Amino acid sequence: MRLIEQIEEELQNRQLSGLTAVHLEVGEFAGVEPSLLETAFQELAAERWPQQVQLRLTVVPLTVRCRQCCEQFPVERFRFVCPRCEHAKVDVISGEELRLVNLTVVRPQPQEAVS
Amino acid sequence: MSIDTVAIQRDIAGQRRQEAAAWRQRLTDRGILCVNLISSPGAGKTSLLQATARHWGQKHRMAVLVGDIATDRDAQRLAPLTPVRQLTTGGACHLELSLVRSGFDALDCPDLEFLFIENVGNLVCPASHDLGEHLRVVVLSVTEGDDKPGKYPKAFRTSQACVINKCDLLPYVPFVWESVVNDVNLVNAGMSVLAASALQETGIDAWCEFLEQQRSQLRSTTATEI
Repeated sequence: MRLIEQIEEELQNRQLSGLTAVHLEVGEFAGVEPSLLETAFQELAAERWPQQVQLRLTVVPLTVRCRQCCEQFPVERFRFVCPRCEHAKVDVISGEELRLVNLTVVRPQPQEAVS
Repeated sequence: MSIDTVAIQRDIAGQRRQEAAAWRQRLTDRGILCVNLISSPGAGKTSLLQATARHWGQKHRMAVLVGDIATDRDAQRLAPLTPVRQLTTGGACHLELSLVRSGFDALDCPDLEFLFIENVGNLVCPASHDLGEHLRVVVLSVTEGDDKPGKYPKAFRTSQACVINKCDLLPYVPFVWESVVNDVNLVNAGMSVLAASALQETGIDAWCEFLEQQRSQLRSTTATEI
């Protein structure tokens, strides 16, 4: 998934430096264990950036929509069955994502305008 | 100094998803149905493919890319029956698209109809990797127990079919058919469940018919799109 490279690419494209924090959304069903991601991120970030970079993770619950009655509900204990109408054909609407939400950077104070 | 938070909203897996979709399209254009077989080690993926190749004989042109962390034992078993390439991951627990693509190029099979990818035996990681397949099939053997769909929901949720293998051993193991079907219906209702014994070569006709039907749908979908 090359997370670090993708962060670096975003920083370069926007001509940003002084990264201090990364905010990621991780779907409950993305196949990514947040604590392991945190460990891996800290290892790789320490190799890439001299400064400390904080990782903020938001876990997105697995939410689906019933194809029959359009009820939206969170999947609990992997029951992909509608609690309202018992229909079992549902579409995942969130909870599978791995999204880079935002980056926090420290910018040097702009030079005071010369009058 | 000022602290700024810059909105990005980038899908980290997006590029990988696009690559898998492009590869799938490439296979579709060539009329090849790509089937990714996943299971725990020893469930019978290789045996199922051996039985498939024997059943079809000259009827269909198939090839296998077989993934393992070490050895080419599975490729050796398949080689007398079908074109095969061993993909050795060197310890990694799943196959990735780049390995599959280079393995396919090395196969060099013209007019292929079915490309099977036998994934590394593991019900966890392979479920998170789209290899550009049209069909993901989870193989579950009755000796593993009937509780697996609920324990490995991603593998069963992301697969379109489940082959329950080693059914000849049902009288000897505590495997309740209704339990597994009930679990499958909670995780992925509508999934095709097929019973087989690869070693006894039972249920192979239904499995092969299922694959042929899937491939005919692939062709008609392509034709409609054109």
